[in-house]
Amino acid sequence: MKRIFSGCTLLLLLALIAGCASKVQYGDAGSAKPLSVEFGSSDLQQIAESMVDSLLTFPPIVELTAQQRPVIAVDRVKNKTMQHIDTESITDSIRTKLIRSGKFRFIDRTTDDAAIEELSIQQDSGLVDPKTAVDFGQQIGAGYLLTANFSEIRQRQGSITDTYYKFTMNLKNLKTGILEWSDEKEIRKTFKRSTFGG
Amino acid sequence: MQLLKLAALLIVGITALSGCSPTSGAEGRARSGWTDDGAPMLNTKVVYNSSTLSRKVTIEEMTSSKVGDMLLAQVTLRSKAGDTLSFQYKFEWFDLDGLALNAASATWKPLIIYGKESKTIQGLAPDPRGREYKLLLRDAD
Repeated sequence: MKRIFSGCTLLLLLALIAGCASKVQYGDAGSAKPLSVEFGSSDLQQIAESMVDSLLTFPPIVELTAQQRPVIAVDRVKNKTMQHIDTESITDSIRTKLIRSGKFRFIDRTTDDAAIEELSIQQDSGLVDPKTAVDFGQQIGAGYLLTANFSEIRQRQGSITDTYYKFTMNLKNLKTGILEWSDEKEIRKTFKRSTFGG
Repeated sequence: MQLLKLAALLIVGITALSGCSPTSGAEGRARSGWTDDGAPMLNTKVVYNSSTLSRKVTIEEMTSSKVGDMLLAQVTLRSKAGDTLSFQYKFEWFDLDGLALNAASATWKPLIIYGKESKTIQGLAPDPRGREYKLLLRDAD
Protein backbone atom coordinates (compact mmCIF):
# COMPACT_ATOMS: atom_id res chain seq x y z
CA MET A 1 0.00 0.00 0.00
CA LYS A 2 2.84 2.28 0.97
CA ARG A 3 4.61 1.51 -2.29
CA ILE A 4 1.51 2.40 -4.33
CA PHE A 5 1.24 5.66 -2.47
CA SER A 6 4.88 6.63 -3.04
CA GLY A 7 4.40 5.69 -6.69
CA CYS A 8 1.45 8.01 -6.86
CA THR A 9 3.37 10.83 -5.23
CA LEU A 10 6.20 10.36 -7.72
CA LEU A 11 3.77 10.49 -10.63
CA LEU A 12 2.13 13.56 -9.16
CA LEU A 13 5.52 15.22 -8.78
CA LEU A 14 6.42 14.35 -12.38
CA ALA A 15 3.10 15.72 -13.59
CA LEU A 16 3.69 18.95 -11.73
CA ILE A 17 7.23 19.34 -13.08
CA ALA A 18 6.03 18.62 -16.62
CA GLY A 19 3.25 21.15 -16.16
CA CYS A 20 5.63 23.85 -15.01
CA ALA A 21 8.13 23.63 -17.86
CA SER A 22 7.82 26.58 -20.26
CA LYS A 23 6.99 25.53 -23.76
CA VAL A 24 6.60 27.32 -27.08
CA GLN A 25 4.97 25.56 -29.98
CA TYR A 26 3.15 26.26 -33.22
CA GLY A 27 -0.60 26.03 -33.05
CA ASP A 28 -3.27 25.48 -35.69
CA ALA A 29 -4.24 28.89 -37.12
CA GLY A 30 -7.61 27.41 -38.08
CA SER A 31 -8.40 25.97 -34.67
CA ALA A 32 -11.88 26.61 -33.29
CA LYS A 33 -10.99 26.31 -29.63
CA PRO A 34 -12.50 29.23 -27.70
CA LEU A 35 -10.34 30.61 -24.90
CA SER A 36 -12.71 33.31 -23.66
CA VAL A 37 -15.94 35.06 -24.60
CA GLU A 38 -13.89 37.89 -26.11
CA PHE A 39 -13.78 38.12 -29.89
CA GLY A 40 -11.26 35.56 -31.15
CA SER A 41 -9.59 34.32 -34.32
CA SER A 42 -12.13 31.56 -34.94
CA ASP A 43 -14.98 34.08 -34.63
CA LEU A 44 -13.33 36.19 -37.31
CA GLN A 45 -12.89 33.17 -39.60
CA GLN A 46 -16.49 32.04 -39.08
CA ILE A 47 -17.84 35.52 -39.86
CA ALA A 48 -15.71 35.89 -42.99
CA GLU A 49 -16.57 32.47 -44.38
CA SER A 50 -20.26 32.80 -43.62
CA MET A 51 -20.51 36.23 -45.29
CA VAL A 52 -18.58 35.12 -48.39
CA ASP A 53 -20.60 31.89 -48.80
CA SER A 54 -23.85 33.81 -48.41
CA LEU A 55 -22.92 36.55 -50.87
CA LEU A 56 -21.65 34.13 -53.51
CA THR A 57 -24.74 31.89 -53.35
CA PHE A 58 -27.41 34.62 -53.27
CA PRO A 59 -29.32 34.10 -56.56
CA PRO A 60 -29.40 37.78 -57.78
CA ILE A 61 -25.66 38.03 -57.04
CA VAL A 62 -24.99 34.75 -58.90
CA GLU A 63 -26.87 36.25 -61.85
CA LEU A 64 -24.97 39.54 -61.58
CA THR A 65 -21.52 37.94 -61.39
CA ALA A 66 -22.28 35.58 -64.28
CA GLN A 67 -22.09 38.51 -66.72
CA GLN A 68 -19.47 40.76 -65.11
CA ARG A 69 -17.05 41.10 -62.22
CA PRO A 70 -18.54 44.01 -60.24
CA VAL A 71 -16.19 46.54 -58.62
CA ILE A 72 -16.69 46.95 -54.87
CA ALA A 73 -15.44 49.45 -52.30
CA VAL A 74 -15.32 48.36 -48.66
CA ASP A 75 -16.58 50.69 -45.96
CA ARG A 76 -15.28 50.73 -42.40
CA VAL A 77 -17.18 48.35 -40.08
CA LYS A 78 -19.25 50.14 -37.45
CA ASN A 79 -17.99 48.49 -34.29
CA LYS A 80 -20.74 48.73 -31.68
CA THR A 81 -19.28 46.07 -29.41
CA MET A 82 -17.67 46.90 -26.08
CA GLN A 83 -14.33 45.60 -27.32
CA HIS A 84 -11.51 47.12 -29.28
CA ILE A 85 -11.51 44.97 -32.41
CA ASP A 86 -9.48 45.36 -35.56
CA THR A 87 -12.55 45.25 -37.78
CA GLU A 88 -10.45 45.96 -40.87
CA SER A 89 -9.02 42.49 -40.36
CA ILE A 90 -12.53 41.02 -40.75
CA THR A 91 -13.24 42.96 -43.96
CA ASP A 92 -9.74 42.09 -45.22
CA SER A 93 -10.52 38.38 -44.84
CA ILE A 94 -13.86 38.82 -46.60
CA ARG A 95 -12.29 40.83 -49.41
CA THR A 96 -9.48 38.30 -49.88
CA LYS A 97 -11.92 35.39 -50.15
CA LEU A 98 -14.14 37.31 -52.58
CA ILE A 99 -11.18 38.26 -54.79
CA ARG A 100 -9.94 34.67 -54.75
CA SER A 101 -13.38 33.44 -55.84
CA GLY A 102 -12.80 35.39 -59.06
CA LYS A 103 -16.29 36.91 -58.91
CA PHE A 104 -15.56 40.45 -57.73
CA ARG A 105 -12.98 43.18 -58.12
CA PHE A 106 -12.16 45.66 -55.37
CA ILE A 107 -10.78 49.13 -55.02
CA ASP A 108 -8.71 49.97 -51.96
CA ARG A 109 -8.88 53.57 -50.78
CA THR A 110 -6.38 52.99 -47.95
CA THR A 111 -3.46 52.91 -50.39
CA ASP A 112 -4.51 55.98 -52.40
CA ASP A 113 -1.83 58.26 -50.92
CA ALA A 114 0.92 55.95 -52.17
CA ALA A 115 -0.83 55.66 -55.57
CA ILE A 116 -1.10 59.46 -55.93
CA GLU A 117 2.57 59.86 -55.03
CA GLU A 118 3.57 57.24 -57.62
CA LEU A 119 1.39 58.84 -60.33
CA SER A 120 2.83 62.28 -59.52
CA ILE A 121 6.36 60.96 -59.95
CA GLN A 122 5.37 59.31 -63.25
CA GLN A 123 3.80 62.55 -64.51
CA ASP A 124 6.07 65.26 -63.14
CA SER A 125 9.54 63.97 -62.36
CA GLY A 126 10.62 63.58 -65.98
CA LEU A 127 12.02 60.16 -65.17
CA VAL A 128 9.26 58.15 -66.80
CA ASP A 129 8.66 57.69 -70.50
CA PRO A 130 5.42 59.67 -71.14
CA LYS A 131 4.18 56.84 -73.36
CA THR A 132 4.15 54.43 -70.39
CA ALA A 133 3.27 56.93 -67.63
CA VAL A 134 -0.15 56.34 -66.11
CA ASP A 135 -2.49 59.34 -66.32
CA PHE A 136 -4.60 60.65 -63.50
CA GLY A 137 -8.35 60.15 -63.71
CA GLN A 138 -8.40 56.71 -65.29
CA GLN A 139 -9.33 54.54 -62.33
CA ILE A 140 -12.60 52.64 -62.34
CA GLY A 141 -15.25 53.84 -59.91
CA ALA A 142 -16.79 51.27 -57.60
CA GLY A 143 -20.34 50.29 -58.46
CA TYR A 144 -21.05 48.76 -55.07
CA LEU A 145 -20.26 49.48 -51.44
CA LEU A 146 -19.84 46.77 -48.82
CA THR A 147 -20.97 48.04 -45.42
CA ALA A 148 -21.07 46.28 -42.06
CA ASN A 149 -22.27 46.58 -38.48
CA PHE A 150 -20.88 44.62 -35.58
CA SER A 151 -22.75 44.48 -32.30
CA GLU A 152 -22.56 42.59 -29.05
CA ILE A 153 -24.98 41.75 -26.24
CA ARG A 154 -23.40 40.60 -23.02
CA GLN A 155 -25.32 39.14 -20.10
CA ARG A 156 -24.04 38.07 -16.72
CA GLN A 157 -25.88 35.86 -14.27
CA GLY A 158 -23.93 34.63 -11.27
CA SER A 159 -20.96 32.67 -12.56
CA ILE A 160 -22.18 32.60 -16.18
CA THR A 161 -21.22 35.17 -18.83
CA ASP A 162 -23.10 34.92 -22.09
CA THR A 163 -21.93 36.93 -25.09
CA TYR A 164 -23.85 37.22 -28.31
CA TYR A 165 -22.23 38.73 -31.38
CA LYS A 166 -24.02 39.82 -34.51
CA PHE A 167 -22.24 40.82 -37.68
CA THR A 168 -24.48 42.32 -40.35
CA MET A 169 -23.22 43.03 -43.83
CA ASN A 170 -24.89 44.80 -46.77
CA LEU A 171 -24.00 45.28 -50.41
CA LYS A 172 -25.26 48.65 -51.57
CA ASN A 173 -25.66 49.54 -55.22
CA LEU A 174 -24.07 53.02 -55.39
CA LYS A 175 -26.02 54.02 -58.49
CA THR A 176 -29.49 53.15 -57.23
CA GLY A 177 -28.96 53.13 -53.46
CA ILE A 178 -30.59 49.71 -53.29
CA LEU A 179 -29.23 47.07 -50.91
CA GLU A 180 -28.62 44.19 -53.30
CA TRP A 181 -27.66 41.71 -50.60
CA SER A 182 -27.65 41.52 -46.84
CA ASP A 183 -26.92 38.81 -44.32
CA GLU A 184 -25.93 38.38 -40.72
CA LYS A 185 -23.83 35.95 -38.75
CA GLU A 186 -24.60 35.28 -35.12
CA ILE A 187 -22.16 33.80 -32.63
CA ARG A 188 -22.94 32.89 -29.04
CA LYS A 189 -20.22 32.22 -26.49
CA THR A 190 -20.85 31.19 -22.91
CA PHE A 191 -18.36 31.19 -20.09
CA LYS A 192 -19.07 29.44 -16.82
CA ARG A 193 -16.71 30.27 -14.00
CA SER A 194 -15.81 27.06 -12.18
CA THR A 195 -16.41 26.86 -8.45
CA PHE A 196 -12.73 26.19 -7.78
CA GLY A 197 -10.10 28.59 -9.08
CA GLY A 198 -10.32 30.84 -12.09
CA MET B 1 -4.38 10.09 4.07
CA GLN B 2 -6.88 8.19 1.94
CA LEU B 3 -8.15 11.49 0.58
CA LEU B 4 -4.63 12.60 -0.33
CA LYS B 5 -4.07 9.41 -2.31
CA LEU B 6 -7.32 9.91 -4.15
CA ALA B 7 -6.40 13.48 -4.97
CA ALA B 8 -2.99 12.38 -6.25
CA LEU B 9 -4.57 9.76 -8.50
CA LEU B 10 -7.13 12.25 -9.75
CA ILE B 11 -4.49 14.82 -10.67
CA VAL B 12 -2.41 12.20 -12.48
CA GLY B 13 -5.52 11.09 -14.34
CA ILE B 14 -6.49 14.63 -15.34
CA THR B 15 -2.96 15.41 -16.53
CA ALA B 16 -2.97 12.29 -18.68
CA LEU B 17 -6.36 13.17 -20.16
CA SER B 18 -5.72 16.84 -20.89
CA GLY B 19 -2.55 16.11 -22.84
CA CYS B 20 -4.29 15.00 -26.01
CA SER B 21 -6.09 17.08 -28.60
CA PRO B 22 -8.61 15.58 -31.01
CA THR B 23 -7.75 14.36 -34.46
CA SER B 24 -10.41 14.27 -37.10
CA GLY B 25 -12.64 11.35 -36.19
CA ALA B 26 -14.58 11.10 -39.41
CA GLU B 27 -13.81 12.02 -42.98
CA GLY B 28 -16.34 12.18 -45.76
CA ARG B 29 -15.14 12.63 -49.31
CA ALA B 30 -17.32 13.43 -52.29
CA ARG B 31 -16.42 13.94 -55.91
CA SER B 32 -18.83 15.36 -58.40
CA GLY B 33 -18.85 14.28 -61.98
CA TRP B 34 -21.18 13.65 -64.84
CA THR B 35 -22.46 10.45 -66.39
CA ASP B 36 -22.27 9.88 -70.14
CA ASP B 37 -25.74 11.33 -70.63
CA GLY B 38 -24.88 14.47 -68.65
CA ALA B 39 -26.65 13.67 -65.37
CA PRO B 40 -24.75 14.82 -62.30
CA MET B 41 -23.17 12.03 -60.32
CA LEU B 42 -21.51 12.08 -56.94
CA ASN B 43 -19.05 9.54 -55.62
CA THR B 44 -18.93 9.62 -51.86
CA LYS B 45 -16.72 7.86 -49.39
CA VAL B 46 -16.95 8.11 -45.62
CA VAL B 47 -14.15 6.99 -43.31
CA TYR B 48 -14.51 6.83 -39.54
CA ASN B 49 -11.12 7.07 -37.88
CA SER B 50 -12.45 7.11 -34.38
CA SER B 51 -14.80 4.50 -33.00
CA THR B 52 -15.96 6.86 -30.24
CA LEU B 53 -17.03 9.41 -32.85
CA SER B 54 -18.70 6.83 -35.07
CA ARG B 55 -20.74 5.72 -32.04
CA LYS B 56 -21.91 9.31 -31.53
CA VAL B 57 -22.59 10.60 -35.02
CA THR B 58 -23.22 9.30 -38.50
CA ILE B 59 -22.83 11.00 -41.87
CA GLU B 60 -26.22 10.40 -43.45
CA GLU B 61 -26.00 12.13 -46.77
CA MET B 62 -23.41 13.96 -48.84
CA THR B 63 -24.58 15.94 -51.80
CA SER B 64 -23.59 18.96 -53.85
CA SER B 65 -25.19 21.43 -56.15
CA LYS B 66 -23.95 24.03 -58.58
CA VAL B 67 -24.57 27.67 -57.69
CA GLY B 68 -23.61 29.56 -60.83
CA ASP B 69 -20.28 27.91 -61.61
CA MET B 70 -19.39 27.24 -57.97
CA LEU B 71 -20.03 23.97 -56.18
CA LEU B 72 -21.97 24.03 -52.92
CA ALA B 73 -21.49 20.99 -50.71
CA GLN B 74 -24.08 19.80 -48.26
CA VAL B 75 -23.68 17.12 -45.64
CA THR B 76 -26.36 15.79 -43.29
CA LEU B 77 -25.19 14.46 -39.95
CA ARG B 78 -27.28 12.59 -37.40
CA SER B 79 -26.54 12.25 -33.73
CA LYS B 80 -26.85 8.80 -32.23
CA ALA B 81 -26.43 10.09 -28.71
CA GLY B 82 -29.15 11.26 -26.37
CA ASP B 83 -27.36 14.38 -25.15
CA THR B 84 -26.01 17.48 -26.86
CA LEU B 85 -22.76 16.98 -28.74
CA SER B 86 -20.09 19.52 -29.70
CA PHE B 87 -18.04 18.99 -32.82
CA GLN B 88 -15.78 20.90 -35.15
CA TYR B 89 -15.89 20.49 -38.91
CA LYS B 90 -14.19 21.81 -41.98
CA PHE B 91 -14.48 21.42 -45.72
CA GLU B 92 -11.39 20.93 -47.83
CA TRP B 93 -11.69 21.45 -51.56
CA PHE B 94 -9.94 19.89 -54.53
CA ASP B 95 -10.03 20.56 -58.25
CA LEU B 96 -10.76 18.05 -61.05
CA ASP B 97 -7.26 16.64 -60.85
CA GLY B 98 -7.47 16.21 -57.09
CA LEU B 99 -5.18 19.15 -56.31
CA ALA B 100 -5.99 20.89 -53.03
CA LEU B 101 -7.42 24.41 -53.29
CA ASN B 102 -7.67 25.47 -49.66
CA ALA B 103 -5.92 22.77 -47.66
CA ALA B 104 -3.86 25.34 -45.77
CA SER B 105 -6.57 27.94 -45.26
CA ALA B 106 -9.57 25.76 -44.36
CA THR B 107 -10.59 26.52 -40.80
CA TRP B 108 -12.47 24.49 -38.22
CA LYS B 109 -15.96 25.61 -37.38
CA PRO B 110 -17.91 24.71 -34.27
CA LEU B 111 -21.04 22.59 -34.58
CA ILE B 112 -23.60 21.69 -31.95
CA ILE B 113 -25.99 18.80 -32.49
CA TYR B 114 -28.75 18.17 -29.99
CA GLY B 115 -29.68 14.64 -28.96
CA LYS B 116 -30.86 12.36 -31.81
CA GLU B 117 -31.16 15.41 -34.06
CA SER B 118 -29.97 15.62 -37.63
CA LYS B 119 -28.09 18.68 -38.79
CA THR B 120 -27.22 19.92 -42.24
CA ILE B 121 -24.01 21.80 -42.89
CA GLN B 122 -22.97 23.54 -46.08
CA GLY B 123 -19.70 24.65 -47.55
CA LEU B 124 -18.99 26.61 -50.71
CA ALA B 125 -15.99 25.92 -52.92
CA PRO B 126 -13.40 28.71 -52.69
CA ASP B 127 -13.49 29.21 -56.47
CA PRO B 128 -15.05 27.65 -59.60
CA ARG B 129 -12.27 25.04 -59.84
CA GLY B 130 -13.59 23.15 -56.78
CA ARG B 131 -15.06 19.82 -57.89
CA GLU B 132 -14.31 17.50 -54.99
CA TYR B 133 -14.67 18.06 -51.29
CA LYS B 134 -13.74 16.41 -48.08
CA LEU B 135 -15.57 16.96 -44.82
CA LEU B 136 -13.53 16.48 -41.69
CA LEU B 137 -15.31 16.08 -38.40
CA ARG B 138 -13.80 15.92 -34.94
CA ASP B 139 -14.73 16.31 -31.31
CA ALA B 140 -14.52 19.86 -29.97
CA ASP B 141 -11.25 20.36 -28.10
